[in-house]
Amino acid sequence: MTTGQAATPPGAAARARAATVTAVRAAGAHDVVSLRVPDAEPWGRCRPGQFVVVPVGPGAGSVLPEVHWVAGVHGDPVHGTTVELLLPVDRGTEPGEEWRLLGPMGRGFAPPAQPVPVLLVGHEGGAVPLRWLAEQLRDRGCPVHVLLSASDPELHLDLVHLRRYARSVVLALPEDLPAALERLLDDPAVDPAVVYAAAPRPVLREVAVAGLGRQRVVRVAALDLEAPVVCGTGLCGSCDLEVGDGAEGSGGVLRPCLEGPVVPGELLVDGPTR
Amino acid sequence: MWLGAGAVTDPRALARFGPLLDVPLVAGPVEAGSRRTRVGRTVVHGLGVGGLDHEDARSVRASAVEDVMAWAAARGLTVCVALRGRTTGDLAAVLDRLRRHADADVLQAVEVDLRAADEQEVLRSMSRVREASPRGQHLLARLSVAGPDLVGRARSAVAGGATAVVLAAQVPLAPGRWWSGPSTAALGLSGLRQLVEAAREQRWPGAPLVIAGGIHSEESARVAVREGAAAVQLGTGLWADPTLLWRVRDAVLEELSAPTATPARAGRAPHTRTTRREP
Repeated sequence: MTTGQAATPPGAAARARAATVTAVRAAGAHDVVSLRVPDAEPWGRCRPGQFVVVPVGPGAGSVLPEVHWVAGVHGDPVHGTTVELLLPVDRGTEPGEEWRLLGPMGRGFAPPAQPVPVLLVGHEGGAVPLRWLAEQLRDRGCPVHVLLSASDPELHLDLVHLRRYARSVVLALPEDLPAALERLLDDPAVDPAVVYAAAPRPVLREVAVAGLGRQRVVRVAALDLEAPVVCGTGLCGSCDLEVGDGAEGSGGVLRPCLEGPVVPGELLVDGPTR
Repeated sequence: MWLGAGAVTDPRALARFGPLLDVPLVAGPVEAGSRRTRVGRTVVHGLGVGGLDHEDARSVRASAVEDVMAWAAARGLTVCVALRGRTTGDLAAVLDRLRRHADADVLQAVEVDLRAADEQEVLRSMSRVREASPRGQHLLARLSVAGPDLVGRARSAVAGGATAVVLAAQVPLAPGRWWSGPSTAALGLSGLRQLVEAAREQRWPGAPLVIAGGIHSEESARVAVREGAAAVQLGTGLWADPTLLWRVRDAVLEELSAPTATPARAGRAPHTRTTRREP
């Protein structure tokens, strides 16, 4: 039993696309990398929560591809379409590099139909999709509140950018995250109708349990790109998540990089703790 | 052109990148007694230059393969089932069940995992699988190049009814753990040369050889075909770049159809059969 359909329907072939690094800006422990892509399509339909795969050849010395969240897509008739990624500083990305990209892959965060208050919860570099999501939600008139956790203040993600779009940004240590989350959910000044989260799975489970317990809508990006990712294309199954009745191997299996990565929080609450 | 079991654990993922009409989808590995519904949770222990240390894919139950067969049948695709079993009875039981499925006509081939088997076990297993298979069913014996007496095991496979031999160039690191990647290409080629030479000397009857391991570029596939492979199997190379499948397929077809193609091949290419098996 599987839990959903492939995010890209068969027949709609995802092909490798060329991209050129045009700018690299420092943002804490990350670089904001801008890539110029030749086609506006399919990037115009890209949403926060989708990701790209950078394939590698054997000559590169690496046997596994790079997988990155899409941190933004901007387009205008003069400069064309630009895709933003947040990459670790130690990757040493340089302007002028030519890349091949597979993507945008997966299913992204859907914005709420009405401009309701929302809470975004993230952990360290896993919070990349929230950076762009905050921008989009603010543009739709949603009051945005952000809760970020990190074991080191340096690992918080591009706070200047987030503070520009969010009504409030709360920072917490990982051990304080559950308490901070409950405070925000119960705070009448925040009162979020929807909770979006992008973080490692244990954090996502905490968010799902706390949010659903208060009858909030919870949507999570269930792919943890901070952990080692093998393929990012749904072939290997290293990101599989067991959901359903909980018995090992007998319940449903969710493959976030194929059927997600954004899924309802209910899927995480029903599954066994991994 | 074949896909490695354990590397492509969900054909829907690969279908997003291009048409699969002439590439049999891989389903499994399937094993009697397994309760798993989907191959998954690939465990990679480490990366190195040109390869990675990973665990074997866990087996799924027959119903998971039937799901893939139904999915393939709805799209006019074919399936190669990767089969594992502790006993020959287990192998036959799974195959018997799959043969009775409504979409059994999508089964283009059955690949039996005999990487850890010795000569006698290869013979017993392939014979039992042949008994349980319909006439004309393609049977592939997956043998480890790194094991002892490759020629003897290949001879047993053919004697047992295998129509092709898959040369797995993965390096065994521990029970259930393997080293895979482009760095295994040399091992695959050595196995290939060994069997091609042995066939020429009539030390085994010869059968089409499928090289599985170290194929991570068009050029490595071309080299394998020139050395005598009738087909290639892609596995972890698709993790690095799934679009490699169509580039390698074109390269292999071009190399096989080249007038200067080597005559050293040990048998007819198994992938040239593209029509479905008659029920």
